[in-house]
Amino acid sequence: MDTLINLAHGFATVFQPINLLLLVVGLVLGLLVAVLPGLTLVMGVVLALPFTYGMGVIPAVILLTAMYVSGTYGGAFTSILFRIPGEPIDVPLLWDGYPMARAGEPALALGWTLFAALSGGLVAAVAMVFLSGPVAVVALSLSTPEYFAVILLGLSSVVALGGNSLPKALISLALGLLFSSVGTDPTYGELRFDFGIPMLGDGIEYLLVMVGAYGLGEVLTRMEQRSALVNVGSVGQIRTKLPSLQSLLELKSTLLRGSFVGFLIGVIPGAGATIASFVSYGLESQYGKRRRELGTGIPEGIVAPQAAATASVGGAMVPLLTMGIPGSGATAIIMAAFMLQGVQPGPYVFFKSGEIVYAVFASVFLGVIGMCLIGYFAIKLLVRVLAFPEAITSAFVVMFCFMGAMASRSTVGDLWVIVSFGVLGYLFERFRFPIAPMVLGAILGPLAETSFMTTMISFSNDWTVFFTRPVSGAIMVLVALALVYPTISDRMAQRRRSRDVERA
Amino acid sequence: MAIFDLARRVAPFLMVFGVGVWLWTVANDFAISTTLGRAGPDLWPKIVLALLIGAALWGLVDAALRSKHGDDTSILITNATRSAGHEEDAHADLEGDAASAPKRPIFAMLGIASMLGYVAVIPYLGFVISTFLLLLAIMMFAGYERPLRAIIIAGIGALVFFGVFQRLVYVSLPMGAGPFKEMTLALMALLGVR
Repeated sequence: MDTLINLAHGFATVFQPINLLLLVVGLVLGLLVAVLPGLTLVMGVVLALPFTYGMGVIPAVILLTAMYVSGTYGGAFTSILFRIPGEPIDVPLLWDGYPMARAGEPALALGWTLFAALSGGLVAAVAMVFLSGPVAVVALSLSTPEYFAVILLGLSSVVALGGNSLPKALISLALGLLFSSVGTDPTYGELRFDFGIPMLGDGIEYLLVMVGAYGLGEVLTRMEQRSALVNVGSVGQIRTKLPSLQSLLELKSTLLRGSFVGFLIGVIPGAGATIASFVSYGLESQYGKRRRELGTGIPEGIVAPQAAATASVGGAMVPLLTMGIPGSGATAIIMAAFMLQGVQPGPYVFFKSGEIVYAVFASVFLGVIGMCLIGYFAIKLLVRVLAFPEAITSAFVVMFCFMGAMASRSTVGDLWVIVSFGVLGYLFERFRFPIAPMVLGAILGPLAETSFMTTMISFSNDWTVFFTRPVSGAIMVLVALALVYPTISDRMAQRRRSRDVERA
Repeated sequence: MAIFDLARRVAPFLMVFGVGVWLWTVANDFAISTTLGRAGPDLWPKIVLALLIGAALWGLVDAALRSKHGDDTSILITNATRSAGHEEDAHADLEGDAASAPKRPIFAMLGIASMLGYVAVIPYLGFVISTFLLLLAIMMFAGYERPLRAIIIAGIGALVFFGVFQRLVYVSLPMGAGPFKEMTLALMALLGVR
């Protein structure tokens, strides 16, 4: 009952005029970012972050959460109508959404997407509200060895699920952790890796790592490709047609499966909306009633990935708000917004500052509904954005990145740092190193170090404590499993493939 | 050719390995490292550096033994697309036009040069002119083919960013030197900023 009362307060907070305005702005920006060529969802949220400096924590997080929610939906329009996925999330929509549109039903395909995003998002939002409390209670009981193990689990699953090359992901993570250790050490106050440069003595702000690597790095990568202009033609006929109630009911198992899978995958750090969307489509191809027709333009192929993608947002909020562990690039930025306002998300904030947490919950509910309304009524305008020249977007993205750097400490020195991370981000893209582990390492590094060092000092340098205490030991086993999973899975798939070849 | 290809594959890992070893020697010089006989300020960075060096060695061996770059999509995505029978087209769709478009690193290099140039000249030319030049350079190097329109957009963009910084974000911007400083001051007066 308390949960519902708190949630009602959360809705009241979001309905305050300024918060509501920011919610709408965030939804529109998220939809635009998902459609605009040259911008990705994470990049968009990063670019919005500097604008939150002057806001309170609640408006800031409402803005970014709204962008995150609607960013999982906007790219569906261009996938279905033009076979151009706005985000990797939208790739599975190409396999049934686009064929349905080609078969003369683009409006209905868009209607199925809307229905899936709305239902998946709301189902996950309900699960988020009711699961967060118990998880926060558990998180509150953790002492430093367990907390360190939880952080390690978060980081290792990001490494394991981020890409297929474990060494590259580990290098990326280690670099992020190293960047976070530059400057004054939190335990002894000793200067580390400052090389006599005063600016490095203050440490490297994670904001510069994020904005440089995600923003400038992506712009440089896109400059190398010089994408051509997209011709969207006439948008006069584009509209959304909602499916009938009976056909909606026929797809309830697909919808529930997609929402449930999306939520669960969202909870796992490192596995965000893109993985949710693909896994849900994969499950539909194995367990769906019409699995043999998948890929021919059936609604199940639209509902399964879209419901999972939007549902993953609710899932990703659970570890962020209850344990302070962001599971994806976008939630890492939302966490940064909290920290910039001096709030460290986790169980204490969950119980002591419930008004913030429940405002976030309410913004997910309202965000899901709002994005569907905007998507329904403004689809023609949103689709037109696809024709906007990428070169102009790139130029302005660069300036927004610099603006973020200058707004944080007002020093030109930070511009050198951000350009360095931009070059690093570009090199990462060029040599196919994942960026997310580095960013998460830079954010979680100080927390990981503090809990590790506190444990070492409290337990007289006995590092075995991480393995001998029941809870931290069990989590450490999960860490090991997360790290060996990709290798084992890959080997099994190779064996299966060679067996198939032999049989053939 | 094979040696060139091998060198290209192992180069990033070799570089990371070298940086890791060098930083280890730097970490050895942190004060009170081991003198108190307990975990010092070097312990955490050294654990991270051990991870970095180990991963670089692993990557080095892996890159030397493999004949080509592996697929870099998440294992969960690979498994899902395999079961759905979309393994091949998923890879192409995830890459998008990046897979088919020819890569021209020269434009990325020009982009980097523009950004570095911006940071270098901003204390002298001031915010407005430097920003105008940067916006113009990025647009042109990113493939915008209408120079006149690019100049207009860059000019308006520079003024809008200046206004946003001065009136909304309240950040003190580099004003430039000599005549450029005079120009910035005139613009500030125009915006009513003291």
